Amino acid sequence: MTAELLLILLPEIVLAVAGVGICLGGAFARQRPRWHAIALAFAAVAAWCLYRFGGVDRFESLRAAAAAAGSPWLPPIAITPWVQFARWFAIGTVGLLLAMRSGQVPLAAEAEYVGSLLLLAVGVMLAASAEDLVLLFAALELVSIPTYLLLGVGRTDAQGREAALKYFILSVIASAMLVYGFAFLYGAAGSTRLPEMASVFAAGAPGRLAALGLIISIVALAFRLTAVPMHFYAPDVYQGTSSANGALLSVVPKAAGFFVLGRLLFDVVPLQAELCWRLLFALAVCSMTLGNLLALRQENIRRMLAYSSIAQSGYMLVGFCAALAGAGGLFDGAGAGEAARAAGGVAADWNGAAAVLFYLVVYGVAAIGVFAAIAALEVGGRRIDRIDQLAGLAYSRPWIAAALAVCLFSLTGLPPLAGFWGKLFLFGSALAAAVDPAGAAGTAKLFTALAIIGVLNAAVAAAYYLRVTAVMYFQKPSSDEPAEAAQPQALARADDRTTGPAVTALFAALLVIGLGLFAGPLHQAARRASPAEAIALPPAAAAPAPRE
Amino acid sequence: MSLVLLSAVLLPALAAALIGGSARAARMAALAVTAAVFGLCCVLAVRFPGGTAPFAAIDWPWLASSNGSLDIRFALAIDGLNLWLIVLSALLSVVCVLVSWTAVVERAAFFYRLLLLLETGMLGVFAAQDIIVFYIFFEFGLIPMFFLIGIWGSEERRRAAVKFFLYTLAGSLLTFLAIVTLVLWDGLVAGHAPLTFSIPELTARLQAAPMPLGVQLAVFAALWIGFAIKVPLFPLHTWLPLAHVQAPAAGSVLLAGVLLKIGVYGFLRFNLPMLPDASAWAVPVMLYLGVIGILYGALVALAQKDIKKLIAYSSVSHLGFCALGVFALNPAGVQGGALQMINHGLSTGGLFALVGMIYERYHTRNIAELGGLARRMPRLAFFMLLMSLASIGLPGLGGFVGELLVLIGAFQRGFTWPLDFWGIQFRAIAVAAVFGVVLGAWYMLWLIERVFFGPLSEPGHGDTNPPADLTARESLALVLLSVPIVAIGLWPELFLRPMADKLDELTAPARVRFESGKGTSSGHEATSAQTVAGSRLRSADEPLDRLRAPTPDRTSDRESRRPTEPAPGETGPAVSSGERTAVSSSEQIEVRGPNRAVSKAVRTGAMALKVGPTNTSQPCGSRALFVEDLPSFSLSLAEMRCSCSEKRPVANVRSVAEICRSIGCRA
Repeated sequence: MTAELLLILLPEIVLAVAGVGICLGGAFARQRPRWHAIALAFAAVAAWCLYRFGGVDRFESLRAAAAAAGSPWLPPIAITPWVQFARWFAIGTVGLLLAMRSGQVPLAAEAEYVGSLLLLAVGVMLAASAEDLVLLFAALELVSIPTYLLLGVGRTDAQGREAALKYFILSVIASAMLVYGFAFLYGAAGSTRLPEMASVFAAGAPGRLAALGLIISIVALAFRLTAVPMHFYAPDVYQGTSSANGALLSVVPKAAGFFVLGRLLFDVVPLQAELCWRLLFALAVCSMTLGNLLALRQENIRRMLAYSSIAQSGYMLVGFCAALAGAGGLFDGAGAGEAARAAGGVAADWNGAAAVLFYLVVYGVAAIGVFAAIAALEVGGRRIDRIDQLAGLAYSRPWIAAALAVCLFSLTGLPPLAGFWGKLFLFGSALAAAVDPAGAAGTAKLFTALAIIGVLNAAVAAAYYLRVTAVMYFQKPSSDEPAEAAQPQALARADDRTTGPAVTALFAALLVIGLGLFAGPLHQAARRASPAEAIALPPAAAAPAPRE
Repeated sequence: MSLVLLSAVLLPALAAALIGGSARAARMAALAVTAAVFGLCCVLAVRFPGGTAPFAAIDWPWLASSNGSLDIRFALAIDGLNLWLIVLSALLSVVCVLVSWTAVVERAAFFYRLLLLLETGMLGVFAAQDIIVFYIFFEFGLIPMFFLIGIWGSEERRRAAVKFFLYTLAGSLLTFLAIVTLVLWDGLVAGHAPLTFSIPELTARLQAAPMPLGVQLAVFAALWIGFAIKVPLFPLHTWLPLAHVQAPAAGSVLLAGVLLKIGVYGFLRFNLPMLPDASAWAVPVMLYLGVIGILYGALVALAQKDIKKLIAYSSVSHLGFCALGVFALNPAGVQGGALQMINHGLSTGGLFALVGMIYERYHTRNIAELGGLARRMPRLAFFMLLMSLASIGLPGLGGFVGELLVLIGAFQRGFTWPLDFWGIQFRAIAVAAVFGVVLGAWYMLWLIERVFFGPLSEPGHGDTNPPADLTARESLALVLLSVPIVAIGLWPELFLRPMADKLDELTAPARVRFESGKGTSSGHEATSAQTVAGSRLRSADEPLDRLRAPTPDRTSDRESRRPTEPAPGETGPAVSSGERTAVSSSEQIEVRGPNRAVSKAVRTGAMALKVGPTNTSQPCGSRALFVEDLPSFSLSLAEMRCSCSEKRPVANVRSVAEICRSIGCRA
């Protein structure tokens, strides 16, 4: 049994061993090997293991075998379609970040950098699959601690050190809050294992203790999501750190936060849906509005991207909010949600949770593309800080400018790029919650308002994304640019420290266009992974009507 | 044929990906591609069979979910509404390439790529038959235009490009919400599964089972914002002058010629067919906004010093005509509005092309600095005069037909309305629209007089270095526009006939609801369809009453009619709200009487009404209703003047006239 479980966990094991090994190897290696390439190779191996050994059916057969044997089986992790999506996301994102191979990492610390990235992936995968609150917390720390390393390692400039320290302190506070919230949940449920907690809460009203625990946990997770009210670190940290780290920060911890939030909300404490969706509603509206309005005033491009990251979290919280309350909603105590689910795939297709998963992928690719494009411009240690420094990029580096423009348009949500589909599904889920006649009374107006606020925010966001594009395309290069930037540049440069980011930026742009034209498979995957499909219905519920 | 349409729509985008190299190569390639696309569109126009069925349809699955409930298809087709708009877009693209031949030198390959992408966007918007595909092309067209204005425009181009983009985007995002709501409502509330994103199917479903009026109004307003910004309707037009003036010549041609039409097209494709009750409700608002646009645009144009700005405001005025025609909701008005879209595209496109040519020679657009150019450039003056006269509406040119039809439609709407509160306003609107024609002639002829006639004033040129008259290429571009203008003027039926059926199909539901809701219908329909509450309409009753032979039932009917509510013992409907009684069965019908469950069911739209007396012992004048399980329908409550010749229940009716007829009334 344990051996089987270890086989299922093989991707995590491979990545963890590789991560630690590279960190150690960096201390002992005589010449400097190409750590990025080694790490990418290990990531590829882990991906193959995930494909071959990590499937849901393998886990389910284990569970069935344990049930047949009659022995109580309490595995530390569980593999569901939601978890699988998270694992593939983690490996894909970290692979992309490795491929960026930015020259911004001091060579002396490159091994630690790469190893930390791999450990980061392990943390995300374990956090999504954990079945126990303690393991969940440890996995989230496994996401945080390598992030501290990545932010701080080798940084000699004051801004970088300030960013690392700020992130560290605030992250520790957030983790403490998270444990506090988990403690309340444990107190309410009597067990730290998530399935037991779920059954305890489903059996009886969870009570105030659980509600308190849930609120504190959600707010603590908001740190990772860069959502209001724990968003204050984002502008300073993004501004102070390098572009590569900016890419990391805006994607990986956010994804981890959403995966964990999804598990908590949909698996564990369903009967608090009423409270939770109201809380998420408030957080979503505040994040979107604050992020977009403040981004309008920024002159520093990384600060602007930080505020945009806050706003994007707000959009994704809309999806969870709709999933909890609306047509794709699962639990409302009265069973109408189950009836809606059983009634047909219409509700499932506009499931807010599926929309969030889809949007995570689309947003992740576009955000990495944006930061990679900026990193590709930071030649020879020069930092791109102000938006004005991008002036005339369309003349000097047309491909990078095009990639940056495509990724920014995708973040705005313009068709036919992938971001449009993401916004369609997210706001569509909010509207489905508003329109659905089976939904609770009074939610219709709230969700219509939420959709309208979201759409107006998208329009406001277009303003600052457009400003960057306008600066790139409508202005001539300013005269104080280094001479090398003034000539039209081919993609591969003599100094190959920027090739990696450039290639990554172009690849991200192509991926964004491709996902925009062929969004079907990803949408299918997200829908299958979302809790509406994944969660095992209690026997009393009606079976969903098959539509095939 | 569907392959022809598909290649016409996608070929420019493919070419945009492949074009590169020098300016010369790029523009030759762009010319070849746009000419080819225009040829394909002409083929489609020639082979179009007319009628309301879609032609050259493409229907590919695009984003489908495995259980079949999410089915976004890549669907294109040609029908009467978009046929000429597609041909217009293709023609104007050719003209744009010809106009920009020497005007665009810097980064020319990028320019032509953007132009081709914009062409795909325009063709796709009009041809789309799937609501998401429509929206994708709708927004996608903003991106090339943004770059076109911002890179090759005039002094304030960056501000103009950003303002254009954000203004239009904000509106279109609200339209996006409305679109998604339409689909979701139909799927979740009306219960039609699977969800459909196909425009014809959605239209049919929403007409069969309309949404409640409140929801319709909200969705109408959201759709309206996006389209009204593009038209542009009066208060939302402020982006237009800036964008038009700052855009390069080709950009202005396409912006005025095609992009503005998307707004009116959206009204005809979405607002009117899918939301008939809300459209009927909104007709007065739209008529007002149309006529205000006409007059405001014309008056402001009179005050302009910049040629391009003057023509931009004239666009506001002309599109006001289109909106007026379309929302008059009679065949003349709608066809006039649709034809005027084409005319405006051709003539204003030509005007902007000519202004571009003037600017290339003199580098100024200021009217005060130019004068007497007809002496220098007779050919250019000829085309300018031709385009201006087309824009004014000289008989023999296209603009006349369009404007005449619009005015006929407005007059029909105004002067066949009974002389009441609304009737006076509609009459005033129609008369005011005529003044718009006069003003239009005023500013255009004044422009021509100041710029082309009078003393010669040529900044930068003189007798020693006169500017060149039109080259062959420029003449070709203008001839390409002039021929259709003359053709529409001399053979309008050729252009109207393909559109007529489809336009009628799209606007009929709104028209029926509008006419039955507001009072007497156009006169020949059942005169019994009158509202009972509101004595203001009683004046229209009297002449008709006198025509009818008095019967004993009728006198008793008239007596019992005095109080607007029936006596409590009687079962009968009571009109719950005063003015508007064109209702959907879920809203305002209040069925009183012993059967409370029935009345609630009727109120929520779960059941429909069947009309007839409950029992023969009651007098015929009582308006008893009983219920059957039928799909819901729209009932116009009225006094029914039954003559009691025959009482039998009827089913599935659509108007009171039908009720009366089938009960056997002599109405």
